[in-house]
Formats: sequence, structure tokens, C-alpha cells
Amino acid sequence: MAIIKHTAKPATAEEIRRAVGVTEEDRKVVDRVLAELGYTSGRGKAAGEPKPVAKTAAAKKTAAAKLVSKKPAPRTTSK
Amino acid sequence: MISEDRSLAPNPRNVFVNVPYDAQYGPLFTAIITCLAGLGFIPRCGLETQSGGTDRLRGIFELISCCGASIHDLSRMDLSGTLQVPRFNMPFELGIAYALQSRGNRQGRPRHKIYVFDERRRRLEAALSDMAGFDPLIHRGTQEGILYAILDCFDPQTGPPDDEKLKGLVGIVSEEVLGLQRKRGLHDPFSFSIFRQIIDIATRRAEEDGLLAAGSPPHPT
Repeated sequence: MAIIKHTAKPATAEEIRRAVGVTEEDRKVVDRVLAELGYTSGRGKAAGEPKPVAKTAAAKKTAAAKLVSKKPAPRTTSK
Repeated sequence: MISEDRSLAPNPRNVFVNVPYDAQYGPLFTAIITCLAGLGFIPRCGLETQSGGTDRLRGIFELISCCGASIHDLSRMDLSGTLQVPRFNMPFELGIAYALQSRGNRQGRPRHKIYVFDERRRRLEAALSDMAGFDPLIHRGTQEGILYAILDCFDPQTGPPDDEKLKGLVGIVSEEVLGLQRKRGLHDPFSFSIFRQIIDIATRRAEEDGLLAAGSPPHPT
């Protein structure tokens, strides 16, 4: 049986964050951790937020190649 | 914290994600959330319902009710945990979604769409023959398999994005989420706060890649 695709007008990034309740605290945690890991530049934008390091095409290709393509080790717990 | 739109009619952008909460599934969960967000859909999951007992069940029912579609990964059919029992949560939630789909047909509401995922072929027919006719999407336990399964099921009205762009997004977000988990000393991403933080990372990166329209910073809490 053919699969009927689900279609919808795409939400904006802000609509997605708001719908799941992303908080300012979440953003601060993400900013801090990503900065510690070297994923953000730490340079302030107008609003004073760290600016994410823009990923180059090569970095994206490398990241894409790292997708989990083999089954990981057996699990220990379950939903 | 619960969605602001749970009491309203189903939002076709909301997609309920019903998957096993185990460490092995963590990267696949991150891939599902990232792909859906990258396509402009709003991932929803049981992590949003924090209470126990009947309240939790009610919360899950309301959450699925406000979704236009749902993903049910039935990969975990074996015995698990110290008691070595099968886990019934996922097929149970699939049953709730099926009831909503049927109700939608009768009451003229938008039809809730159901997508069943499995890790391996030809198991579902034997394990859940009532679902014969629902072809499961097979992901082989890989993030790439998850990505293509989602692209087979979901389309933003603006048209599908470039596969490679979405693959790059999943790769980068996965790397960053693993870093976040390590920093927080967590073995898996199955908490509501990590779920929200995955959404934050995925939407920021998707904005950078031009996959999502930019939005203003979230409302202060």
C-alpha cells in the first residue's frame, strides 16, 4: 500500500520553540554548553547572545558522514 | 510544561513521536526530532507529560489529540529490564492514535495520520497482525534510515528540502546534542529539558541553513 504523505505549511523556528515551551533558561544552557564545547563563538549579537559558529560546507559534509549508520550496542533500558 | 495549544483542535504541524526511551535509541530520537523540525513540523512526545498514573495517560491522550500525525516505532518487541517483560507503551499509544484517526473520519475532523516504524522487515506482520495494511517504514536502527523514513512520510507544503542539507543538519545537531548530554552527565536524551534543548539547537541550526524561516527569540518565561 502506498504511503500517503502528511503535508502542512511549515512552522517557523520560533513557532516550533514556542509550541514545545523552549525557555530562556534552555537557551542559556545551550549557549553555555555549546560555547564550552567550541560550537559557538561567544561573540555577542545585538541582543547579547553568543553567535553560533557557522558550519562550513565541509564541516556539514563531515557531520553528515558521521550519521549513525550502524546499529549501536544492545540497549539496557526501555520506555 | 505543556503546550499552549493542547486544548485546541489538532494542529497539522504537530507530530507525536512515540518511540522507545532507551540509551541505544537516543541518536535515533535526536534524528527524528531534528528531521521533523528541519521540515517545519513540531515534534511532540510523552516527555511533555510529567505527571504519573491517570494524569499521565490523560496528558498523552490530549497530546496525541492535538497532533495531525504520529510516528510509532515498534522496534522494541523483545523482553527488557530486570523483570524481562515486553514494553506495551508504544503499541498502546499507537492504539490511541488509531482511535483518533477513526474518529476523524467519522466526525469530519482532519484525519490523524499514523506512521509505523520498525528496525527490521517482516516482524510487524507476526507481532501485530491487526495492523496489516500499515506498511512499516524500516530504518535498520540507523539515523540515515530514520531520515529517509521521515522524508517518505512528511512533506512541508513548500516542497521537500535537499536530502544532503537535512543530513548535514542531523549530523551537526547529533554531535552537539551528544556534547550536551556529556556535559550534563546524561546517557540518553530522554528528559523534557533535553528534548526542549534539542529543539532549540535544531531550530537554530535549521535557521542558519535556511531550512526554516527565521523567528524572533522565544518569549521570556
